[in-house]
Amino acid sequence: MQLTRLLLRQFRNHAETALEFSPGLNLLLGDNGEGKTNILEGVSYLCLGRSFHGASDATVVQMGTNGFLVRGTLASDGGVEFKVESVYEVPGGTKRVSVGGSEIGRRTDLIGRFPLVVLAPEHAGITAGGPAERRRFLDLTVSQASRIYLEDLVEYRRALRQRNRVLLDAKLARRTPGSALEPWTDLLVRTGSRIALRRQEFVEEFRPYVDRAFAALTGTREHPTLLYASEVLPEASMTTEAAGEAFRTAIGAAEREETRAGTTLVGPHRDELELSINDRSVREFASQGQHKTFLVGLKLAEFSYLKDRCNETPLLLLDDVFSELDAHRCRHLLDLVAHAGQAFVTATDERLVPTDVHGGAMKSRFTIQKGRVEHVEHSRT
Amino acid sequence: MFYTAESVEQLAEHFSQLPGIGKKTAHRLALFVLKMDRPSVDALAAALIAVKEKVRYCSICSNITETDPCAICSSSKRDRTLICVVQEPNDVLAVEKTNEFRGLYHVLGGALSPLDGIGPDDLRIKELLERIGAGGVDEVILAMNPNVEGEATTLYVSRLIKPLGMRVTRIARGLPVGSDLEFADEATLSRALEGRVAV
Repeated sequence: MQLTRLLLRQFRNHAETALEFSPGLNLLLGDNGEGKTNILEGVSYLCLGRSFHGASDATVVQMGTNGFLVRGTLASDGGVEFKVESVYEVPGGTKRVSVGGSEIGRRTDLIGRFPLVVLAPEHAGITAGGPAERRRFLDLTVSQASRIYLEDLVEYRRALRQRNRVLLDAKLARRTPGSALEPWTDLLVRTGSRIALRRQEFVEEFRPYVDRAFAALTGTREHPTLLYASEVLPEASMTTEAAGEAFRTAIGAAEREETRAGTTLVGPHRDELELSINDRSVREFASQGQHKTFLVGLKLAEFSYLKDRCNETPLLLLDDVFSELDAHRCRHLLDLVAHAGQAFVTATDERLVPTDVHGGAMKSRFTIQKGRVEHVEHSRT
Repeated sequence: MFYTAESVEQLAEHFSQLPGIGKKTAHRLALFVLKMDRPSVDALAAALIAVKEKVRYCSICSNITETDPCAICSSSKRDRTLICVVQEPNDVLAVEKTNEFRGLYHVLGGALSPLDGIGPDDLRIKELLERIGAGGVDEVILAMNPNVEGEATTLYVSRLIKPLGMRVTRIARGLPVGSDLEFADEATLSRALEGRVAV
């Protein structure tokens, strides 16, 4: 996948910014708050239909204007061009996304067509934060690789909200939820057991990719392990039916506690992806350096995994990561994607980015100031 | 401050409360009514009042009707052993248009959705069970919308009907007629596989 052109209109601090990118490294330079990350956010609107920060559409609109437009030209590895457009209007709060001129009904129809891997400062939570951060990583990766997973996830989340409401209503009225809870439990069990199994399967598929990324980053010194821990899957290699039974038993046993809490306490929305290095939990024991290595390793693995799964090279967005990483990890990160991919990198200081990698591919350097591109330079290394 | 006559503004205001009508369209409609001849406007006003005065819910199937029981429930040509359960009166219209269904209907009046404050007691489920309990029904077809709420309603109603001993079925979900298999998205195709039937 390659992004050749990008237009941002009334998007964050960009009144009107048009960019032409290189197939290799695209370096976005500028001081903090000048609008570098906003360009990456625009790219994320083309691939995921929303901001990678999870910012709402309304907050992305440039202050004092009535909506935004993001338009891009993406070319597949096979050379087919797609014009993707995302238009949001403040009155009514409607967003229309179109690919090749035809409108897409739901945002979910976009996900996975143009795979994207993002590494931003807030992703530090994947190794250092709570389980929710790791589930988000799992969900976004698997959703881009599998439409069925994404549909199940959407259905599960909706059913979960409905079920939580039944439990909350029962709690407030000081009664048992009774039979009103059953259809939501049924739905949760049906989609939830499929989700848990697919996540487990993903972790298996993903392991060799992580091993390879780690070997490249650290040699043989550090050995990573990923383990998916789910109450829905008490045993290894379960069938969908067995997982469903296990889920039903666990959620049945928790009903009194759930009524007291007024929320659903069992299910894949509470599962954990346990990360460790040399059999020690990353979250508890890893050094600052190990945290960074693990995060970069996961993202590199995600890149290769999505490339294989989607039959398309993902775009790579690296937001201000070089001030955090040492030169060695930086070099690996860029080197490993250099061979095949297009990367968009923000930095405050060019000296932090080892630009001598990326053998042969075109690279571009953009200087961003107050939401405008002040300087562009294309070169071949 | 009104730029046009106050009564035009008022009419436009009423139109804009209708689904799918924005402020601009509401104004166009109001000005159109102003240009209509008097008998047509009288007829429109009378028609508006008539739907409120004459239309009620069928005491058997809960569909909208002017005669109770409704034309379908009182028809001698319909198969009384078959009941198709739908969410809204609109869905009855949709199924009727197929000309394929000769049974009776039961309109629930919505789907389960706790987030919107709709629980089992807000739907006409008790009435459905009473109908079935009275005997003579061989099959109940559940035809809810293919979304999370419709699915939950299907599960809930089927749990209640199954113990009564008759056949409970649901309409199939899957590929649209006239499309090619290769163009179907994976999610639709996987649902269609789930609901496969023996040939």
